[in-house]
Amino acid sequence: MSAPNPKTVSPRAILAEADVLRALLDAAATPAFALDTDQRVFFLNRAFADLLRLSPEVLPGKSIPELVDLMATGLADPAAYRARLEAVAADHEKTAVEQMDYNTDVRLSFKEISQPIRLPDGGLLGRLFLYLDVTREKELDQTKSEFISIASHELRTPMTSIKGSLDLLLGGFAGDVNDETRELLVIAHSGCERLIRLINDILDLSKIEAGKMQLRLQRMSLVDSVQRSVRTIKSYADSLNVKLAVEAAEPLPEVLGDKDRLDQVITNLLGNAIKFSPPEATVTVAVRLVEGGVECRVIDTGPGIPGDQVDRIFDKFHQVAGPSRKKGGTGLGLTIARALVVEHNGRIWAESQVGRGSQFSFTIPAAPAA
Amino acid sequence: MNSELAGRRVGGTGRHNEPMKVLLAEDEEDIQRLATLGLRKRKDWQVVLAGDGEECLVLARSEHPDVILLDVMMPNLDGFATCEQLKADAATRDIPVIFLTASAQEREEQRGLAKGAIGYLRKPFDPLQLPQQVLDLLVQTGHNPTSSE
Repeated sequence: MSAPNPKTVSPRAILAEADVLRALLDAAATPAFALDTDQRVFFLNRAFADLLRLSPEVLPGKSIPELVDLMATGLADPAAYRARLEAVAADHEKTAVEQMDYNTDVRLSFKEISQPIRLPDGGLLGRLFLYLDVTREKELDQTKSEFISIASHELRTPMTSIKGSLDLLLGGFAGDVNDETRELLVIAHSGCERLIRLINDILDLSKIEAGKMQLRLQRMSLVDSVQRSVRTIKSYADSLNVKLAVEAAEPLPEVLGDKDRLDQVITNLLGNAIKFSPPEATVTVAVRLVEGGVECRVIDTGPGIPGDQVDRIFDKFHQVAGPSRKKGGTGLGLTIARALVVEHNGRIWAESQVGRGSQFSFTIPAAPAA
Repeated sequence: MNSELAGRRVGGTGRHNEPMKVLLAEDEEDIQRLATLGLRKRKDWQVVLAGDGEECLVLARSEHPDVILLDVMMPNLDGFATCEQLKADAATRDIPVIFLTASAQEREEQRGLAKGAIGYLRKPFDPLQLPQQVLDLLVQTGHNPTSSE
């Protein structure tokens, strides 16, 4: 036997390498299969065959409709799955991520990741589909949402008793209260209100994180939303002797928004601006047309936010260190505001200068022409 | 009966033509008392108390209230099922129902309104504001309150 030429690879070596790769993929717990450019199965691993409870030999060569027929009992909507596989298989460029539920004895949830397979010379071999089992994560999310929902309900009931009693006492229901007593009752009452805001915020955030925030979108005016929010928050501004100004000059297009939720965003930004403004200061809300949408800016002349904290201001429970921590926020308002704006396909950001003030801005895309 | 007050008519001097009669279905005694104190701030309002949904159905038929305030999480029959049965019974279907509940999520509100309620008030509530909130909802939905003071 002559020595092998180092520049050529023997067919046996190629087959051995293929066997190694096949063994590696078979050993993986992640179900996977691949379609060739004719959209037929040319590869699958043992985990995929096990998921389908089929012998691995049955599947190679199967077309998408044949494959989906074999999977039909496990799929909630086989036709939709087939349509998606066909669409994704025809895409030779992009990675796609989808959710897929598959019922065996139990309901399993997968994240389906698929991407084109290319040879080193750039030639297209087909498309690989990987199924990451996210059943446990989904169960945990569900448990978390249920826990928060129950905790919210159970906290609300005693809060109703405490706050209701304080409302009645402060309303003079049990007779006049002297100034010292009133001051203590007001402290207890504002503590209650803070707890209720926290409960509401946690509930909102849990919904947003679970992707269950349902917006009721309609054509609406962002300026109307600003006016409503200003009316809502005026008594709070008055109590801190802060003035409110609205600037909205040009005629503005309508946006596609959820009124209650956009009011919530603006009220939150206004509340922060008022809270951090010195007495006699003015908080300005300016609404203007920008490319692709309408922009709303809330401008204050408060202490400002240090540069290194501006980007983190929207993070959960992030509050600027220093005296502002004593201002009684939940640390969730801006996180929720950002999530709500993003749900509207908008953008939200903050600019600030220490000693000069802060400006919080967000944009909402204009509604399509009627 | 979950409460010493349950099923009893509380207050109501009938100074005006017809007193407003509110049936409150609520299993927490503290909240029954707070709501009653707030509602009775209107001197001519009567409050009838039910400790759960089943009692609410019985009292709705016997007492002919002008409006029903309904908690959601109650023993025996919850608020949603109670509302459904109230709306299925010719004797009670025209009585406006307002939920007054700690079930604060939007999907719960949508479910409550889908059962035929005219309003959905969340706990905690301000007892002193409660009568006005009830009146506002009655007016907004075209129900003519029998008294407004």
